[in-house]
Amino acid sequence: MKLYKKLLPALLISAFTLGACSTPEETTKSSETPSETLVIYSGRSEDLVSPLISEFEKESGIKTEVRYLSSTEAAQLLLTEKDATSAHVFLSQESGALGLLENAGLLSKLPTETTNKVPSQYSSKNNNWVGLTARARVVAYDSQTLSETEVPNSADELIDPKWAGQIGIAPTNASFIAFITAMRLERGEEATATWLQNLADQGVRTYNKNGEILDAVNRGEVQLGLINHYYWFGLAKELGAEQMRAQIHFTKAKDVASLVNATGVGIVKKAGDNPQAIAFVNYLLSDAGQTYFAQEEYEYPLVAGINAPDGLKPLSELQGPDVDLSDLNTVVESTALIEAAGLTVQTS
Amino acid sequence: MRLQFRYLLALCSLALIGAPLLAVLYELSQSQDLNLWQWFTKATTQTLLWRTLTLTLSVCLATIVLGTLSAVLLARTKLRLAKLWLTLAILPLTIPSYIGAFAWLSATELRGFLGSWLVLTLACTPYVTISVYAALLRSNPDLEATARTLGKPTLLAFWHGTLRGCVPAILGGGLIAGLYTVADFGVVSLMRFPTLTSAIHTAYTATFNRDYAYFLSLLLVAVGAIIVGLEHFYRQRAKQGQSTTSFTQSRYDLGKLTPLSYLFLLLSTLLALGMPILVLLQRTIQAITSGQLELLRLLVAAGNTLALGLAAAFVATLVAYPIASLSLHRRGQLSRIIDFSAYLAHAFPSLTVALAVVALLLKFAPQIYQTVLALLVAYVIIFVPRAIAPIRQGLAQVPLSLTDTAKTLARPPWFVWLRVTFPIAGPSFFAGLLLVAISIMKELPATLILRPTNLDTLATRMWQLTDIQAHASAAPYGLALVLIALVPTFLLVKQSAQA
Repeated sequence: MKLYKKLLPALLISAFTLGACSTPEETTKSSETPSETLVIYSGRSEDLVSPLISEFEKESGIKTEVRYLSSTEAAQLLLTEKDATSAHVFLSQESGALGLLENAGLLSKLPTETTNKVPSQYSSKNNNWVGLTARARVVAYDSQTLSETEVPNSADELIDPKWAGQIGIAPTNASFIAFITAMRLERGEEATATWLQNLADQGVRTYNKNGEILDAVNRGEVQLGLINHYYWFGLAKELGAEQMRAQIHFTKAKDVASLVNATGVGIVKKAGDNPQAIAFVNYLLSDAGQTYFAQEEYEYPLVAGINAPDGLKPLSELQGPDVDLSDLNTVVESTALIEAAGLTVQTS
Repeated sequence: MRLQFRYLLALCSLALIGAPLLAVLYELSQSQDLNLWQWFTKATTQTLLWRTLTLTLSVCLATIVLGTLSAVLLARTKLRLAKLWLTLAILPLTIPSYIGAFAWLSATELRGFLGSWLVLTLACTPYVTISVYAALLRSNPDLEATARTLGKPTLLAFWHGTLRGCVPAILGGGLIAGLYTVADFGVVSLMRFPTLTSAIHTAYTATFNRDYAYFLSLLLVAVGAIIVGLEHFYRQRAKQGQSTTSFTQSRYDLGKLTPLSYLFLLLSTLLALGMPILVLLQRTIQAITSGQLELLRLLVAAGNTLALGLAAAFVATLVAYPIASLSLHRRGQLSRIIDFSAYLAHAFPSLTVALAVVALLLKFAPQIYQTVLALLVAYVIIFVPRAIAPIRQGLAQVPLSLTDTAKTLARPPWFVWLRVTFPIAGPSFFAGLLLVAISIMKELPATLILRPTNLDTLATRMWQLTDIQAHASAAPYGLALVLIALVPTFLLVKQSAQA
C-alpha cells in the first residue's frame, strides 16, 4: 500500500515528462523567443555540476536545459548536428574534445575579457574555448611496497627495466593520449616511438580508465600507475584517506610526465553573441564557480587568486612541460604510435 | 497486386532499419581521403577481427550446447519443478551483460577472452533455451515413438524423431546470441578483451577518427553477415516441422543422471543469476543504509523505462511483421535478401546507429529531434531484427489449410487474419514483443544520445552513477531493471510453457 502511494506520483511524473518531451513545439519555440532557455551540453557528470548550474540559474535568472553525456559523445553529437544543434554551450571534461570542435569550425570566439582571466597556455590559441580547471598527471604508487623516494621522477625513469610488469596505463584514454602528444611535441616522433616501445617491452599493464589503474594500485596489482591527480582524492573521499594503500607522486618540474591538462568550456558557433551563454562561461570563471570545482572535484582552479584544494601544492609550483594545450589535438598521430607499440587495453 | 503489396510493405520496413547503414555508406563516400584497404590490412584490424570472430563463434557454440541441454531437460525429462527451473533459466535475460561482467570482475580473477566468453555465454544462453523449449513442446511425438518401436535406442530415437526438427529453433537462438556478442561493447571492455567494438569506441572517443569508426562498423556488419549466412544456410537445409499446437510429450526418467542434471541446472542458475543479483543486492543494501537511495528519481526512471520499452517493442513488432511474413510465405530470392538484410542491420553498433539517426532526423524530421519520438525511432531501428524470428515462428504454426479454407469461404483477408491467424500466432507475437521490450530497457548508447533532455531511464542513470564511481547508488537502478523485466519474463515463461 505504501509502495503504491509512492509509485503513483512517480508514474504520473514519468507520464508527464514523456508527454511534455514529445511536444515538438517546445524545441522550435525556444530558439526564437528572446528570453530563451540556455541549452548546455555537458560532458561533466550531472551529479557533479548540476548544483553549480542551479546556483547559476538562481543568481542570473537565466533558465537552463542541460544534456548530460560523456565529453566525447557530446562532441560527436555536436559534430553530427552541426548548425542544427540546439546547444549554446559545451562544457567539456577534456581539452581534446574542445579542440576537435574548434578544428571543425563549430565554436565561436570568446570575448577577450573572458579568456584573459585564465593563463593562455590553458586555453585555445584562437580563443575558441577557455580552460576552467587543471588536472595534473601524477604517478600513483603502492605505499606498502615503495617509499615516495623510490618512485620514478620522470618519463625516462619509468622505462627503467626494474619496473617490468609493474606499471599500469590507460592507452586508449584521452588523458594518456594527451601525455603522448605532449611528448611528441617535445621530443619528436622517433624518440616518442622508442619510449613507447620500451614501455611495451617491459610488459606494462593496460586498463580502460584512470580509475581502474588507481584501483589496481590500491589492490597491489601493480606498483605504479599513470593517472590524473584528482582520481586519488575521489577514491580517498569514498574510502577514507587513511585507508588508501595507493599514494600519488608529482614528477619533477618541466618533465613531460608532469603534464598539466585542462577541462574547459566553449560557445557553439551560432550562439556566439548570445549574452546568456557568455554569462554562463563567466560564471564558471567566477570565484563561486572556480571554488566549487576545487572543493568538489579537487581540480586546480585556473583563475588567479583562487586557492588550490587542500592538500595539494599550488598550481604555480606545478610546472608541466612547455607545451601549449591547444597543440594537443593531433591525437591521430599519437594513437598511431601507441598502437604501433602494441599497446591496447587487454589482460596480460 | 496483393503480392506486390506484401513486398512493398517489407521493403518499407527494411528501408527504415537499413537507413543508418545507408547513411554511413553515404558519409564514407563523401570522405576525402579514404584508406579502406590500408585500414583493413592493418595488423590491429586483423587482430581485432580475429578476436571478434573467435569470441562470437565460441559464444554461439556454448550457448547452443547449454541452451539446448537445459531445454531438453526441462521439456522432456521427469525432473521436478520444471516450471520453476524454466523461469530461472530464462531470468538471466533481465540482467544487462555489463552488470554480469561487473559482478564477475569484482568477485573473481577472470578477465580477457575467458571472462568475456563466460559472461556473454551466461547472458545469451536463455535465447537458445527459450527458443528450443518452445520448439520441443510443438514437435510431433509420433516420429520419435515410431523410431523407438523400430528398435532404435532412446537417445537416437529422440535425436532423429524430435531434436532434428528443432534445429531451426536452435540456430535461431544461436543467431541472436551471436549477433549480441558481435555488437557487445560493455563486457569486452570491462574484461579488457579488445574486439572491433572497442576499437570503434576508441575511434569515436579518443582519436575522433569518424571514418575509421564507420569502416569498423561496416566490418562488424560483415562479421554479422557470416553468422546470419551460416544460420540461413542451415535453416534452408533443415526441414521446418510446421505444427499447429503443442503435444503432450513423453518425459524420460534420467535415472542415475538425475542428480547431475539438477546440479547442472542449479549451477547455471547460480552463475548466470545468483552472482550478479548478489552483487547488486549487496550494493543496494549499502546504498540504503548509507542514505544514498534516490527513491523518487528511481521510480520515475523505472516508469519511463517500462513505458518506452513497451511502446517501442510494440512498434518494432509491427514493423517486423511484413518481413517475417514475407520470408515465411514467399521463398523467392528477393524475400530471402530482405530477410538477410534485416538481420545484418542488427550487427551495426548502437552508437553508430544513434549518430546516423541524429543526422537523418535533422535532415528529414527536425521537429521530432530530441523528443520521445526520436528515441522510439532509434529503438525500432535497432530492435526490429530481434522481433522477426518469434513472429515467423508464430506464423509458421498457422496451417495453410486453415487460412485457405477461410479464403474459399470468401472471407476478406482481414477477417481471416483476425479470426484464424491471430488466435494461433498471437502468443508468439506477444512473446517476441516481450523479448524485444526487455532488450530495449537495457539499451544504453542510443538512449544517451537521443533521449529528450532530462529524461532518465534506468540504464542512463545507472551509467551516470557508475561513471562517477558511485557504485552503491547505481546498484538500485540495476536491481530495478531486473525487477521490471521480471514481469515480462514470467509472462514469457507462462507463454512458452503453453506453446
